[in-house]
Amino acid sequence: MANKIIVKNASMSFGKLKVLDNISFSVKENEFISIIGPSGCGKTTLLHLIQGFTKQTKGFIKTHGKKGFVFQDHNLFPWKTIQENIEIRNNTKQKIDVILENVGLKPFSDYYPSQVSEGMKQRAGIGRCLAYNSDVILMDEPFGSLDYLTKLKVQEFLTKLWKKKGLTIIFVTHDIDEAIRLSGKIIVLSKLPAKILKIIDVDKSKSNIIKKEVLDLIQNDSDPK
Amino acid sequence: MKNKKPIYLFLLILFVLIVWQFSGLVFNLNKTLYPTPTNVFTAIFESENLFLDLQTSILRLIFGSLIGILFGVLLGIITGHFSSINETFGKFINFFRFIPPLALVPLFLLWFGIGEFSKVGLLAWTCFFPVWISSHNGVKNLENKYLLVAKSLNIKGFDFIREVLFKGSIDYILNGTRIGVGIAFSVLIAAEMIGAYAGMGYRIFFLQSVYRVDKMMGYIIILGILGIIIDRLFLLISKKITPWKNGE
Repeated sequence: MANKIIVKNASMSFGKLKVLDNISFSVKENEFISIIGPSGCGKTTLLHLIQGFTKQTKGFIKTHGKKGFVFQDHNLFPWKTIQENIEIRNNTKQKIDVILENVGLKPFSDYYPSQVSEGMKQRAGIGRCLAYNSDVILMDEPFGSLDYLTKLKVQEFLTKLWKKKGLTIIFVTHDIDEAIRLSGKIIVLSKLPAKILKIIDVDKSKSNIIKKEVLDLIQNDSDPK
Repeated sequence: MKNKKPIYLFLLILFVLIVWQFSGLVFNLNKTLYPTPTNVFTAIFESENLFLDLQTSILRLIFGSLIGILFGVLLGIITGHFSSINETFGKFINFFRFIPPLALVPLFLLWFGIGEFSKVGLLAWTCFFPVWISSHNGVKNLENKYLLVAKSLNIKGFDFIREVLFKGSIDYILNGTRIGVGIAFSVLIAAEMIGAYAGMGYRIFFLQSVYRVDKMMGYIIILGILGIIIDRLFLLISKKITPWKNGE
């Protein structure tokens, strides 16, 4: 399968602060990759570089396909209804109806973001990417603020959507269980300046072993030498 | 308890009217200089020019305000979003903000004559600055996350200005408009007193010269009522334009 995203020797600094150090990995079409690491290690920065919000100070990042970004706080425009937010970059009415059905928000299409739940807002954020015809979706801790049951429901929805649409997803999270549940591969980042500690292929039958491995990697990295 | 509030206001107004009506009798006041409420209301109904004067002033206010709002919003979006333009052009325009509009009345009359252009122009000038500043602040304070969303969806050009910058700052714009129109209203009356042949301000000044205090007070009360109506209209329009805030 073709590579949708190639990151080669990417480093990022903000002034004197080096955030990312020599990051290299690739993501194939229809892969679901999670990026995990300690808080503040640069996961969001890496995602922003891939999206193109900012440019890396060194190295090379190339993406194929149309990128969509799902933000940590959904970032729906408060002055637009759910439907208007989703269709902002797509004017095909029929397709919007289908997308609203797909994300389970058709009954709430005329509601404003302030009138719906956090889980619905996140689904609307995903719907917005689908309406934009994104085949590569970057997700920055999208379910962090949801309660456990809502999180499970939205995760299930995302998994079904990923399989149905053949999407390529990079998913940033600090929740190891979530990473194992959703993805086929986990990239473990170190503390600042972030390097890749390991890229782990996920075997869901060995989730406990993988979880321990990830925890050990992060723990060993954070222990003072 | 909530429903009783309008009654208290009505009773207060009634009390003031009664005191005013009878103070003329009690203190034996000169009716020409200190007319009673009944004198004033009778005078209002006798005013043949009232409708024309109201219409003239309101039309001047509408046209002047619309021009001021249009330019204020346009420039506010530009200076709010492009800091380089704000550092030069914005700061240059800002100097004129501190010139009191009424100081420009004699100049506008000399340049543009006593016709409508001078008054509409002055109102546009007056309304422009509060709208510009509010629009500028609205765009400047727009959270960066919305700009990132626009970038991620490749929203550019006029779509970006309309859907993100303008609509995202609408409550600031409305606030600035409300202030701008309010100030323009005061300036209008003063400008009409100095250079006009019709309008509420012109008529009040004229009535002073013929000692018709009763009609003057009638016009002044109507101006107050008009001001309240304009303000309430703004609140209604704001509520209609920003329905997402109604649930907050």
